[in-house]
Amino acid sequence: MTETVSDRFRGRRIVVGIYLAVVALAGVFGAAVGVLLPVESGRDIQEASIAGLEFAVTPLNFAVYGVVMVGVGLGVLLLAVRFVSRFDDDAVDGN
Amino acid sequence: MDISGQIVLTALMAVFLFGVVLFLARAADWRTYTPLAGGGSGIVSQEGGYGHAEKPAGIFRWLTTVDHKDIGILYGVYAILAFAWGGIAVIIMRAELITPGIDVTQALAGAMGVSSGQNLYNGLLTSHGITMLFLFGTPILAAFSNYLVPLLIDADDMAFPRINAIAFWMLPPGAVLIWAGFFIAPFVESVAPSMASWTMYPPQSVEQTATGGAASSIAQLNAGTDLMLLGLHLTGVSATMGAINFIATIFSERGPEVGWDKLDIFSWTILTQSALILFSFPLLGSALVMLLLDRNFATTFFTTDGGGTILYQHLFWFFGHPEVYILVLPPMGIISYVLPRFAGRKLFGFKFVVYSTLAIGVLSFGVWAHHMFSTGIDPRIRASFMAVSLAIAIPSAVKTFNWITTMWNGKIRLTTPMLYCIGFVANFIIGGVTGVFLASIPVDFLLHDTYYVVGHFHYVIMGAIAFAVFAGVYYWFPLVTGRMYQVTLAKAHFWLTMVGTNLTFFAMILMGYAGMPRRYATYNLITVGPIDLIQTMHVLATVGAFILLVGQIIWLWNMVQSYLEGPRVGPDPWNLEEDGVDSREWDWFENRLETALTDGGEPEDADADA
Repeated sequence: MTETVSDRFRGRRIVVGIYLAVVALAGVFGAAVGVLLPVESGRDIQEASIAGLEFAVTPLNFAVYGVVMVGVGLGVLLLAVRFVSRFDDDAVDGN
Repeated sequence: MDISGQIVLTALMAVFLFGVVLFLARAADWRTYTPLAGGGSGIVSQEGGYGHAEKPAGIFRWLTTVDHKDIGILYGVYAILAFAWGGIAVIIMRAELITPGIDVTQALAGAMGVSSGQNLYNGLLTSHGITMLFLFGTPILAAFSNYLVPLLIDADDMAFPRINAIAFWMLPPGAVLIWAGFFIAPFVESVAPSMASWTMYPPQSVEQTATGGAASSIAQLNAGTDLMLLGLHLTGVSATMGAINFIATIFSERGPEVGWDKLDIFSWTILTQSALILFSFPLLGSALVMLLLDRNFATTFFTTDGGGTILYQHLFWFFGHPEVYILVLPPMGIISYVLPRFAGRKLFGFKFVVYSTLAIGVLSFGVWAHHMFSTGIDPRIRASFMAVSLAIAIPSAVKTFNWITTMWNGKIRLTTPMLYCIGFVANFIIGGVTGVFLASIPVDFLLHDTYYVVGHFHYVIMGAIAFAVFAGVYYWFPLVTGRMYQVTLAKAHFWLTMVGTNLTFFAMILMGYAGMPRRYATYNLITVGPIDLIQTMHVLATVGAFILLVGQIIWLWNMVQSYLEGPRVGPDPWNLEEDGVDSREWDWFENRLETALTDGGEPEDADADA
């Protein structure tokens, strides 16, 4: 068997797919941190705040936090990629 | 024994060694391997012929070879053996950490001649770190660069083929010395595997006995550490010789068509890496020699009333941080080289990828003290190192940005090498971002010496560097063997490695948040987070490590079996010409297949190797 994969995927579909997977994973990781922080001895962290917005440290809140943070952070990067790719002379996928 | 007996023995030994020299000299005619007649001036390289037609058969071929391709394979086999050693060490450690108390290593310690389970754990920890960095990481990259750089730049061979061979042959004795503590411990009570950890910080590394305590005289010191330092020194000399060779090769042996503007991205990263090695490894050598002198000749380089222990840390990390980039730049080169092939296009922003490589190379010498934030060094120095450490994220991000943009406007084929490239980018982002937080002094104070740090650098070392190595191994497997690997096994290897890596190292990052300190065999006496939670994380990490183990066994099986029985490939196994992204090394491969056919029907290397 040889690995002459003939299926070709549009690059942007793959990149957006990875973006969505990473954002979903950030939600899972956020939930894990939400479980961990309140039970960590010595610190007893129950509340967190961002820019004056206070919220309780729960798995759900931290999952939302993870999704929003990573979604926005990588989203900006993705928009930058989309913008810069207009100047890509070697593109094979059209614009 | 009296003096005359010793003289007789010495004389006998001399006669024996002379006999060995004579035997070796007769066994092979060394001149037949000279790649260029007349001393290898490098001027006659226009032919592009790879003149190693006459090689002795069997084991002598491998012992005497100066062919860059053979030496590349030797580096590769050596690195895989070291990878197995380091992997088995960490599997024992991870098994130990399933429970809070000491059990697995305690059971093994007696049989291995080590005084306690904790000492064995510390010995395994030291061996794992040193082995993976110096005996697997650096050599596996040398395997790629030795095999490929001369092909990619259209050179006949390396600039100094014999120095190339010498550099490799320093490594096996280096490994034996580094691991010597394990071999000697069962037989000699006062010797144990070194427990100094890979950083070898004094005063511990200067004073430790085989039972882990501080020695009161030189006679009590653990000789395992001395042997390890000597072995490390050998590998350092080897890496430096290799680096000089690559710099000379890339500067002076490029073919007439390969100008600086045509130099491929992988060779650029090897050139930068070689420069880093040239400036950093001599520092390691000096620090090691000073440590050895402190241990055995009572010098005071790193004693409190001498140079001080912080002096060692400065010297060590002036080497140690560039070492990180020595290990990561060539893998970035592999990704920059392989990823565009399966996106069916050229790398986006080639020039900027080269510039960012050079920028990382320069900046890497200005960040070493970020490993020392918590040692009490001057806060003003600390702040400047924090700034440079944060700055190094910029060229790294430039590369990531270029890889993503390359994929964005490409048509992607999800072959195994491509999967590893994508996995590299994903893991490198996690490894990189967790590193940016550590570069900040206040965050570092919280997380220093916890599993967070271990998780962070393993995301880079295993998640990125090893992924790039696998991308390269799969991509060039047909080039080296003339055969194709088994795709299903390769895909299984990828997914097991991807899941195992993320499970193991993300659990470590969480454990670090909970305050679990690194380098401990037990956690039943810790005063940080609740033990149940820490144990759950440790179990997850161990499950991940075993998933990784299964994946690597599948990989090894796939490589060996496919090398022996895999289907033969044509001149363009990846269909690169279809997209117009073929490259010089596959042209060489095609040429080799064609010339082998006119010779008599079979590819030249396949049968000779078997």
